[in-house]
Amino acid sequence: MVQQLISEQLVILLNGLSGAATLFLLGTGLSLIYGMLNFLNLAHAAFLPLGAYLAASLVHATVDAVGGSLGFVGLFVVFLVLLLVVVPAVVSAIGLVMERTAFKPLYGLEDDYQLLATFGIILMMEDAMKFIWSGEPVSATAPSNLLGTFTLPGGTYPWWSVLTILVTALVAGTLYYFFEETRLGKITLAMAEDEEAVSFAGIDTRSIHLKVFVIGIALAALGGALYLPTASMTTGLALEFVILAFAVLVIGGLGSLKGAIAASLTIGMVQAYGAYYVPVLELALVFLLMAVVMLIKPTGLFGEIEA
Amino acid sequence: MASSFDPDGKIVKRGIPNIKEKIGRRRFMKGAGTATVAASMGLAGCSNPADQGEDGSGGGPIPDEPLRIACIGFTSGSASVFGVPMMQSARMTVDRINESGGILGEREIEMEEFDENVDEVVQQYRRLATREDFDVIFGYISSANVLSVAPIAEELEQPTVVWDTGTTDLFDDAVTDPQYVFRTCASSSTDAVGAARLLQNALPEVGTVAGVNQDYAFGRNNWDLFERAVESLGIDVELVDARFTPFPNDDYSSTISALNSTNPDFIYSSHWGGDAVNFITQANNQGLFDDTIPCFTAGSHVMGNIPDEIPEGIIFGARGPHYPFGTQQWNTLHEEFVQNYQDEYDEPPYAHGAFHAWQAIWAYVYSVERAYNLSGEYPSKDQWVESMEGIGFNSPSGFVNMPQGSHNVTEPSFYGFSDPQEDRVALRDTVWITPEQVNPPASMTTGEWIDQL
Repeated sequence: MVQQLISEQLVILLNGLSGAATLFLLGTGLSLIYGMLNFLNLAHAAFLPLGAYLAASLVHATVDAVGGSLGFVGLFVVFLVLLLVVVPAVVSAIGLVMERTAFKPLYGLEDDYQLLATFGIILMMEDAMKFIWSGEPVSATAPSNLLGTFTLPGGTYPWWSVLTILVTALVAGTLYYFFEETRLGKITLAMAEDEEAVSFAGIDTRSIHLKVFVIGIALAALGGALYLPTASMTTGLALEFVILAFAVLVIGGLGSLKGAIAASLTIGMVQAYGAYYVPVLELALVFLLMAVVMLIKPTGLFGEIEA
Repeated sequence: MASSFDPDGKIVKRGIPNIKEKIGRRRFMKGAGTATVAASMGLAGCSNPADQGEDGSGGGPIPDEPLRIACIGFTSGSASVFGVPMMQSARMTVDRINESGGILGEREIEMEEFDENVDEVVQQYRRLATREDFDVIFGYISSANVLSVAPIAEELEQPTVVWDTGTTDLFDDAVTDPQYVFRTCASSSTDAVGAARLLQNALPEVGTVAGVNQDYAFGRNNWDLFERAVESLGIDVELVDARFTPFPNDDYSSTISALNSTNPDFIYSSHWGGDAVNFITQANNQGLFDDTIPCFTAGSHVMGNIPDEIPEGIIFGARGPHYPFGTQQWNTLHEEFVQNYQDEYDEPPYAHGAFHAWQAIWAYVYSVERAYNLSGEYPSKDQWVESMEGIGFNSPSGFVNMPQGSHNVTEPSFYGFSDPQEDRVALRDTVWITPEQVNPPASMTTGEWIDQL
């Protein structure tokens, strides 16, 4: 009885943490870009499915090309490099091109215009992904299958989800160090406060802009690459992710890394426990949580800027 | 009760599995049903009955202008997984009819596509029916949408063929005395009562049952019918959990964990589209199917979407017998349709909606030809209604008919066990339950009928 209760809680905890991992990777970029660059980019959420689709193509191509010849460890290492390095790099490059062409003209506009314009961009990105990968659902479970599962009373659990949690924790720790301890991090934080003052100090704010932007996009792409092996990507999900990304933004507070971590964990756990114990409220819980946070602290848990 | 599980009307039970065994070693039933196909007007092409001159019928003028039809289905969003093949099938069917001259060999069909993925479904419908003045509107994949639109269709007296939605509320509640609205596919009664009968006759070792359905009109309706059927048929199982998941949904991990915890022997799920794909992929990862048999009543299309994710021996339905591989090859139409679709789109028609689109368009064409053949005149709107009532024809999925007094086609219930092959997933040990066993008579609502089973 006690053992079953512990294992039950462990499974919900793992579900909550892996959900939080995806949310963190998705929402942090949006929060940083909005908080530090003052650019509200709805299209940010489309970079997660883009990462997932790209990951699927790379996994399938790898399996077709060298599937049997590399051995278990070799193949897994190739998958790790593809999903953790290549996917974020390629998607960041795409993001960079889009930043210079589609997003840059929107900087400095009112939030409403940015929202409308980037909503149009997300729809175009959705259609572009549908055009490239067709409307069919895409899955690529080979990386997860290689790692296998471990058994818990009442079911099995994929090791890949555990890997997702660990990689995300490592990323979150690195980012935290970057923003708290490094010069670039401090400049970025200063820019969020007063960009003009930073540029008067002779610092190239445009290059800082690009760096923050690329980090944000790379995180979302990594989120997609880590999400895919235990799930599947279907057309239309980008708009679902927009809502979740905004939930992280609103609950955590604008531009706050601590806030993004706290919000992701809170939403992930609320969703996991909610879906398990009160499934009827599964959809409502995130919005209830947002409403409660907005009522108690309109700037979000760790934010100082009004949303 | 005499469910026709095989050509002799007997239920064959050989080697009922130990539910606790791994799916890979399951072997259930041998043999499968074959349709009791009534012969009808199963013509593969159109012709002008006037030329055949039977009993001096036919021969009146046929309109020169093309028949304008609007086809509505999800061509964007996560449900487009399902809507796109459906629209492709409609396009292919219309093209072939036009290649043979059109309706009655003379009247061409002009088809326009519209996306169902819009905020204002009712406004879109009104515009198509009034300002754009389409002769016929074919449409709707979402049950929620059809419930909004059907009363408007009757109000506007607009010929409307509902081609894919399942909710029984359409004619039991939203439009109880339909005139211009017809549904040319079976309602959810076929799926839900069929699954209950399958449980009763073929899976006697199942002790506990759970449900996981999408949280909207179709999913709620499905579970309600299944639950009532289980109770009314007196099936000795315990319903241990009923879950409704957001629609659409990307994360099923906690739902699956909860089902793992309850560990039911059997899961009833009407999931479809991208949700079905996500649920099955994630459930596989969490070992849900290791000692649970899921029954996906409308999920067979995922075998085309994610063939590598489908384990052996789980139950799939296709909202009727609409699966390209593993059916009984009812007639040459089935092979022809699958081959034509494959040639045209370079993939088999896995989505049951593709078959439904064929049925909808041909039901309309046949009803016009039938009316013309009987009266000698091209039918008016009301004459078309009369002709649609009671129509029957051969389709790629066997014989389809609209019982007299009903505006809803009945279809057999059809289930099979997934059977992964080298190049695709087939269905084995298919079970076929006659339409009368899974659909209410025209004089009763679905609920009334189920309650007195």
